[in-house]
Amino acid sequence: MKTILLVEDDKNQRLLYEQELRHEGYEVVTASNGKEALERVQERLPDIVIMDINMPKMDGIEAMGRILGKNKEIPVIINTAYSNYKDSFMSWAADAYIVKTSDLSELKEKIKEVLAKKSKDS
Amino acid sequence: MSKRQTTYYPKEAIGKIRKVLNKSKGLVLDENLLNTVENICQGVESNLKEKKSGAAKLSKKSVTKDESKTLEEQIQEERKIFGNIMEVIGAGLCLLDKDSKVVWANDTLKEWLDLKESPIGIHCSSIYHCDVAGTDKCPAVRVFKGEEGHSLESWVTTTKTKDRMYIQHIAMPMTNKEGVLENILLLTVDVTKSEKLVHRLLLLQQFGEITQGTLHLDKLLHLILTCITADYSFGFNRAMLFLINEELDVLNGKLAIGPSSLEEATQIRTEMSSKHNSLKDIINRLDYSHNIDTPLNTMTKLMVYQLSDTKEVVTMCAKEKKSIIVKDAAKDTRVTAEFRKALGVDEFVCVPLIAKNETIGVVVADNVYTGEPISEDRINTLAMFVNQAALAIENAETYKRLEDKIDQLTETQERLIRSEKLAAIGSMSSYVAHEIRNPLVTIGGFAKTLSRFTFTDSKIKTNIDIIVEEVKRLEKILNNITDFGKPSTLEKVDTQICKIMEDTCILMENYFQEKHIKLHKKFEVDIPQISVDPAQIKQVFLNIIMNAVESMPDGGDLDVIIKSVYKSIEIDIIDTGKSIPQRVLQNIFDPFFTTKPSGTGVGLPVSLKIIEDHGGNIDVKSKHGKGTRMSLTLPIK
Repeated sequence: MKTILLVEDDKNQRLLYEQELRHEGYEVVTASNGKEALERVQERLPDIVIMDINMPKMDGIEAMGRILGKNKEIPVIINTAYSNYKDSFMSWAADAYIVKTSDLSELKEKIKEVLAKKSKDS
Repeated sequence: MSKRQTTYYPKEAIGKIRKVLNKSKGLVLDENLLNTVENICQGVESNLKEKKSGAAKLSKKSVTKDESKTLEEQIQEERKIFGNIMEVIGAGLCLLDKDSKVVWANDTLKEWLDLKESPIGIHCSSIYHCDVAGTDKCPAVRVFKGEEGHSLESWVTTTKTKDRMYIQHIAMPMTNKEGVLENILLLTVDVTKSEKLVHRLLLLQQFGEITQGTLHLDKLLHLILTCITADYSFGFNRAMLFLINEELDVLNGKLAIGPSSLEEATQIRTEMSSKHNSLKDIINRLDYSHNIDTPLNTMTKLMVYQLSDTKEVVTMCAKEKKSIIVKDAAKDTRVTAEFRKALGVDEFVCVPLIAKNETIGVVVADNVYTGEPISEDRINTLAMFVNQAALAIENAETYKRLEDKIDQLTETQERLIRSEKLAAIGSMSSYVAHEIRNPLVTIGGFAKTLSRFTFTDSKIKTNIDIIVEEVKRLEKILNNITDFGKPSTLEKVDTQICKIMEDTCILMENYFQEKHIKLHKKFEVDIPQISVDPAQIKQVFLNIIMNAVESMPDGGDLDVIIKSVYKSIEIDIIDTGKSIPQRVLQNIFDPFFTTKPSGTGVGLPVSLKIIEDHGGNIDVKSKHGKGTRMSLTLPIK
């Protein structure tokens, strides 16, 4: 079973993603900000990280930078309400960039895609 | 003339005439005429004295038949001389009796008053055609009442030359031997010249007053030329006005006024003289659109002379700042054949328009129809008038420049405010949009998870679907705001506009079909590539075409035209839908202004911003019942 690290500060949204991704058959570990995300990664390496950007304490971009700095093979999908970070070169390091919508099918598709690519590469 | 009167007439008459002349010196401005009459009077007087002494000598002796015959002849000759004098003094004379009936009148008067039959015995009112006869205003009546010489002025038209004359009637009492007032001598003097001078001065004053209040340049030019051509003022047949364009260093034809044919000229003259028009009347009646399409005006507007070209009479006039009178254009070396041909007249005058010591233009005037020679003093008054006109033009031009600057400033300010508004609203809306987006994702997301469960009540399922649908709609609106609210930096590449439009149309093909829209594309061949951000331009096309389609809920025709128009490309998107009401039209580019139930009000303002960022513009024309035309212009380079 693949493990997903879900980084999301909004409690209800976190719950939604957790439910939905579990339903899809993933094991979901959650973090409510960038700092927590780093701790979770240290505890256990996830197969994929889904990262929000705007978060307290440490934002998603910084957290992603640090995670990738240590484990550059972990795929990261940015999942944010802002479309304008797409132009920021920091976000280019992510494997995918998704603008949040209530329709989660795009996110699910992307997770499958990225994981498939990862297993093919390794 | 009765014998009795002639016995004392010459001497007395001369005395009276002199008296009149002395009085008239204040009234009549023509000194020359006065002097001539004065000289004639002196001559006659001395002649009379001689005759008198001769007669006295004769009377001392016994008068023989022969001598009396000689005397008779002398008297006859005397009368003849006197008669001649009466005619050559250039004034009308008329003797009235107590009942205001004409006793005698000289030929000059008969001619002036257009008398075909002898006026003797006729009441004065029927020959003078005056309406004051018998009233206290009548100079003759006043003199009979014991007042000293009185005068009255009026306009008449002489038959001989068809010229209008301004005449002055002066009444003088004539007493008989016993000192009883028996007759009135009416002296009629032509004061047209002085009257015209006074009139012109008055006109100058009036013009000054009026032009101070006229800052509209076109109106002013019209007014100036009307003054020059009006029969009652300067009375030139035609007048043309040239103004200097400093930027191009040329003298440019601006306006011309004058009839195009002799018939028209006569018609205008009679029309003008039948009404006593004041300058104010003329201004109030001035129809600025009238006279604009005359061949003369069209020709004048096409006349352009380089100021460096000193061979041209008008530029010479502008350079030398002096009036130039051309008497015979064919022989005058200052006039080019081209200019002479354009004017079609040999005698004309050029007067420079000088304001603050600088020439700002030239006025050309002529008498092409009447052929009346242009006199020196007329040019002098014209020059005075034109100088005043130049100041007025200068004022109007300054005012216009100021107005243009203010317009420019206002426009810049408006644009600034609009983009400020857009930026402020953009950042605010994007903040709000994101704040809303997160809870929406949660609401919609959870609602969707619910649909996985099975419910016994079908209503629950329907309600969940409604929540999901509504959240989707809200998200769509948010996408519009966040994506368009902030146009990002331009990424310009050389692009074929027609290609972008083609792509946009293909993208919307299905939509057109669904809404029953017939698309008519008309792209000019050879439209050059221009440097634009294709994605942004496509967005603009999409926005505008979408609006056009939405204005035609029952279907219609959509014309998309691309053509190149002088250094720019014009893209017209024309629909046959509901037009935009006037009050809405002025707001359509305001951010968040919308009339559509589900509109966000950012489509058009963002489109305008994008086009303006590309150095272009959007023009909207909407006619009730005819649809809307959106014209986009993008500069080529």
